[in-house]
Amino acid sequence: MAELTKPGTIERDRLIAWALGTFHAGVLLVTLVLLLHVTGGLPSLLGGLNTASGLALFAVLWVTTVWSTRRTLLGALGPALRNEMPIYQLVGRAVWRGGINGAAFLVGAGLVLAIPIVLSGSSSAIYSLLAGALFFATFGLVGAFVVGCTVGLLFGGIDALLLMAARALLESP
Amino acid sequence: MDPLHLLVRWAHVAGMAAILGGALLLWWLAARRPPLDDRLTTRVAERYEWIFWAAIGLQVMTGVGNLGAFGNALPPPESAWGTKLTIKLVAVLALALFSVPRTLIVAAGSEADTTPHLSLPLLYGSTTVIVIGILGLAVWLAHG
Repeated sequence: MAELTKPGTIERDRLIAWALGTFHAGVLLVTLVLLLHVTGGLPSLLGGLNTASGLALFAVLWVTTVWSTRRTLLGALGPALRNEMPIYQLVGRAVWRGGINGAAFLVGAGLVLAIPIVLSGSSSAIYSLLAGALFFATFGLVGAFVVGCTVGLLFGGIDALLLMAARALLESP
Repeated sequence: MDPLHLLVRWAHVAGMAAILGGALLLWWLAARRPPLDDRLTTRVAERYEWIFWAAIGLQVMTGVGNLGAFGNALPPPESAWGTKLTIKLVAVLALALFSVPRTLIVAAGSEADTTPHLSLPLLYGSTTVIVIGILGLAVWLAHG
């Protein structure tokens, strides 16, 4: 474990968390856009979302995903990318952290979408927002947690395969 | 054109320039014979990986922002433009998937601050080829 506190290892883990977190957030969004595009649902979604809100929503997803990936990988990789914990434990951590990330994203997205409503100053819109916030704070968070766990499981599996590919290349002559 | 859309387009092009320029530089550094100082290549590669993923996040963000400018007028998937967009999105996914092992190998090398791995010229060469392919698709899309 002493290896894991070396400055080089800390820097390495920061880079890996940055890369994998961005990979997860980016691949998730591109896959959703691709699925919506091929099923014909993309124009209606784009028509209902302004550019600034879309950029802010992805920024929230990016930040929460890099943070949760960093928490997942904490102490998980030893020298030469060897596993420091059993793979099932790492995937279990990815599922749990995915759930936390889903809930954190929902809270961040709710704040991003609430700002223009609050700034509008319309009392009826603010009452609707409060009613929506109550829904978000209960069913929404549970739903986001479950979706996050599922996505975490999927990316935990993909990351394990990509780590295996990197180790194979490192061990090749 | 409104200033936000202009900024989004500029960031999309600048991000692509950073990804392609860096990959070309690293390919040259890693493949160079006689090799340069090994630690220099490792350190430049490490910096590039930070920039690469920042640029990938920016490309995804601004790419969807560019699509947002179409709104309800986005061409359907079965149109020629829609097919090109499908191909470009799949190519972007392939680039992201291919880039994770490359970053992991660079990260493992930077941890030990040792000689860059022998696979680096192949990895950066392949990255350059994929990025040029995506750039070609982007130009093809931009011209309808």
